[in-house]
Amino acid sequence: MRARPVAEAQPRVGADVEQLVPTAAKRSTAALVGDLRSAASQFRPFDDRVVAFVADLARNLRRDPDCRRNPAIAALAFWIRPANLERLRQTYAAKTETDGVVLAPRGVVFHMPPTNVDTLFVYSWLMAALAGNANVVRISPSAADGDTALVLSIIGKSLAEHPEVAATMSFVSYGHDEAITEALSDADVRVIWGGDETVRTIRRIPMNPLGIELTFADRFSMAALDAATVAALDDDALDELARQFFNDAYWFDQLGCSSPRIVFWRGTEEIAEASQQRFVKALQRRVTAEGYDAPVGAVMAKLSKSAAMAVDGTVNTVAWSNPNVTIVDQRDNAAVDRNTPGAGMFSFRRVDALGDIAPHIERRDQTLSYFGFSGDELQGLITELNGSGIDRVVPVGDALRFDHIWDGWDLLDVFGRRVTMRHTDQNGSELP
Amino acid sequence: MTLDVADAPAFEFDDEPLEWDFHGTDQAARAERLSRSLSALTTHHVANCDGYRGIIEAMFPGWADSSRNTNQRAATLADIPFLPVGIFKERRLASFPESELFKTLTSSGTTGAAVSQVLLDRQTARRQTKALSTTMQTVLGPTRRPMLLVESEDVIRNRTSFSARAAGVVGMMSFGRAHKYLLDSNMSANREQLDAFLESVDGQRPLLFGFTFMVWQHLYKELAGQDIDLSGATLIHSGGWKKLEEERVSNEDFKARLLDAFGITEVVNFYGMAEQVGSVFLEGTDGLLHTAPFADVIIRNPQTWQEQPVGEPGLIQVLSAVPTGYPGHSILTEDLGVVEQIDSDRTPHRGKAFRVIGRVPKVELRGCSDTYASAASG
Repeated sequence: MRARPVAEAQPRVGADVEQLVPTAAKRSTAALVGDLRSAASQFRPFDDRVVAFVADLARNLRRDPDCRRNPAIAALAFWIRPANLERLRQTYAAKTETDGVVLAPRGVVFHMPPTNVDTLFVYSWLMAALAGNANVVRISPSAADGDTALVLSIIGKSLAEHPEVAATMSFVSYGHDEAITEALSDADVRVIWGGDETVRTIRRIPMNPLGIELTFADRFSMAALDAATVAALDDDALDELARQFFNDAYWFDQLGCSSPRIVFWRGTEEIAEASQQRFVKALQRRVTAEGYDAPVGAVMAKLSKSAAMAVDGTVNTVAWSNPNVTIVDQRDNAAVDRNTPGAGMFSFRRVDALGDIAPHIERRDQTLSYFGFSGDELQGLITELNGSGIDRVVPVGDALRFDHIWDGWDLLDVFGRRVTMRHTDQNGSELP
Repeated sequence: MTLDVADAPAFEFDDEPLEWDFHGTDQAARAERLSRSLSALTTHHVANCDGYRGIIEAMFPGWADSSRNTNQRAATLADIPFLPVGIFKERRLASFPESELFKTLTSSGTTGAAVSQVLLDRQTARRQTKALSTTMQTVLGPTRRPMLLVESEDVIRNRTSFSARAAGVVGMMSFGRAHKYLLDSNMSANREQLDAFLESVDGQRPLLFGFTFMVWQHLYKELAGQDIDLSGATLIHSGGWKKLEEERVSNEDFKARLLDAFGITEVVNFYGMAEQVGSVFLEGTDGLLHTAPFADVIIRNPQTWQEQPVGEPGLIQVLSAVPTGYPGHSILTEDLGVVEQIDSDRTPHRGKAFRVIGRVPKVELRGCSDTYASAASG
C-alpha cells in the first residue's frame, strides 16, 4: 500500500470485502487498491500477457454452451476476438505517434457496473485492462445469479491460466456499503454506470484527489428509417431489417441505453403509413420467431403508458393487440416522452426530412440507429446538432455493438495518461 | 397532473342497476342488461371526459364516435372498452365539472410508488355507498350489529388525507354500531378494548372487520389461545392474500384457525379496489367470489386479450355500473384470477364465481438503468 503522510485524512477503513474472482477470498478494502496498483506497475499498455489473457477469455466464452446460447455474451466474445484486439492495439499505437507523447496506464480503475446489463461491465473492464491498468469491479449481490455469474465464472477460469494478470484483477461483491465504496475510490479512475440516481449517490462519496471519474447516466436512443427505402425492400430484405431491429430493441427488454424507443419515419404520410404496416408485421413475425414474451407486468405498464399519452392528446392511435409490440403513432408536433417502460413499446413519428428530428433531440439522447440514409444526410444532422445530443450514429442492427468510443468518451484515451516529453539539446533546440 | 374534467353538468344516472335482483338471474341475462348500462356509461364518458375520449379514440377506435351515436351498444360484455388500472396512477380523469368535485380517493400504495387518484362527485359517492350497502346486506341483513374493527382509531381520524384503506374502513363502519377498535396507536392488540367490546355485545351477534393480513397478524397471532369467545360473530375481511401466502396460509386454513381460536363461524372475504369503490365481490359459502348484479368480471388472456374459458387463469377485468362520475366502469386490473363456475347450483348465487390468484409479478426488466422500477410497478 502507498505510504501516506500521517496528517492526511484516511479513508474510513471498511470491513473486509468478499472477492469472487480470481479466487474466492475476503480481502481488506484498506489494502486492496494499493495491492492492485503494485501488481499492475509492470504492465505496459497492450502488454502481451494481457492480450493473451483476453484472447483466451474470448475463446472460453465461445466454447461455453451456455454463453453461446446468449446473444449478448456471444456478441461480447466476438468483439474481443484476436482480430479486433489487434485493431484496438493499432488504434492505440496511433495515439502515441503524435509528437512528444508517451501513453501510460492510469493505475487502478474501479468499476461500478449496472446490476442489470450482464455483459456491459466486461467491455469497460477490458478497455481498462488493455490500457495497462489494474481493475477492481464491484458486482452487485443481486447479480450473483444468472448471466453475470456465468460470465464471471468464465473470467475466473480464464484468469486461472494467467496468474500475473490475475494479480491485477479483483471482482468483489458487496451491497450498498459506502465505506467500502469510499475505500475502493482510492483508485485512479472511478467508472459509474447509471441510472442517474446511482451516479448521484456514488458521486457524493469522496475519491482519490488525483483520480478521475467517468459516469454513464441514463441515456435514451432512437431509430430513423427512410420509409421509401423500407417500402422498396423485398420480403427477405424486410425480414432481415426486422431481425436487426429486433436485436437492437429487445435484447435488454428495450431498456438498454442504446435500445431504440422512438422510430422516426422519413417520408410522405402515404409512404410512411404503408412502410410502417409492412415493417410492424415483419417485426411481429420476428418477435414470435425469437420467442420473446414480455412479462405481463410490463405489458400492463405499456398499456398504462399508452393510455396516459392518449389522455395527453399526443397520439393518434395505439396498436396494442400484440402484447410484445406496442406501437404508439405520435402526433407530429407532440413532445418526445422518454419515460417509456420498454419491453417492446415504440413511438412512431413521421418527418419530412432527417433534419426535422433535430428539435426533438436532447443531451440525454445517445444512439441514433438508421436505415436508408446517405452519409451526407447523417453528417448534416450531426453537424446541425453540434453536440446538443446523440453520441453515436450507427446502422440498424449495431445499436448495442460496443466500441471503445462510448457516450462521447474514447475509453482507451481516458484509461491512459498522456506523458509529454520534450527532448532538446543544451541550446533548447528540439531533438528527435 | 391536471384535472381533466368536463364543462357540462353531470349526467344523472338512474339507480336501476343497483336495485337488480342480487342472487338470481343467469349469467346471460346479467351480461345482457349490464352491457346495456356499461355501453351507456362508455358513451357518457366519451362525451364528457376529454382524457377518456383520447384513450378511446387511440385504443378502441370502434367506440370513438359513440358520443354522436348514443345508441352504440357492446355486442357482448367483453366488447366494452377497458382502461388499464395504472392509468389512475398516471392521470386524473373525471366526467363532471371541477366545481362538482366532492372528494378524491387515493390508494395507499407502497412508499415511493405512485398512488391511484379517483375523483368522485356526489352522485358517484352516493352510488358507491348504496352499492356497498346492497352487497353487504346480503350477508349481514338489515340490522346493524356491534362492530369491532381490527384497526387503530388513528387510521380514520385523519380525514383530510383519505387513503383507500381509511375509506374502506369508514365505508364498512356504517354496517355496524357501537364501534370499538382492536388496535392501539402502536398497532398492537388492546385486550381492554376487546373486553369492553365483548361486554357491550350482550348476546347480539358481533360484526368484525379488518384487512386480511391485519386480522391474521393482530387478531389471530396476538390473541389466539387467550380463550376469547367470538362465536356467532361475522368476520368480513379484504385486502389480498400476498402476505398470508408467504406464510403458506390458505383461505381454508385462515377460516379453520379463526374457528378454532375464537369460534368464529362466518368468515367472508371480499375483493375490491380503490378504483372501483362500492363494487365488491363477496365470498360465497363455496369459498369463491361472486358478482353483484351491477358488476361482473372477465378473465382475459394477456397474450391474446381474448376472454378465457372457465378454469383458465388470466388478468381480471372488473366491470361495474356504479361509477358515473369517472370512467372506472371497466378496468383491466393487474390481478390474476380464474372463473371457476358460471350459474352453479352449489350456492343460491347465479352468475360468475371466481378466485383471485394474486398480483402480476413485479417487473424486473434488464437495462442500463437500475432505477427503472418506479415507472412499471404498482
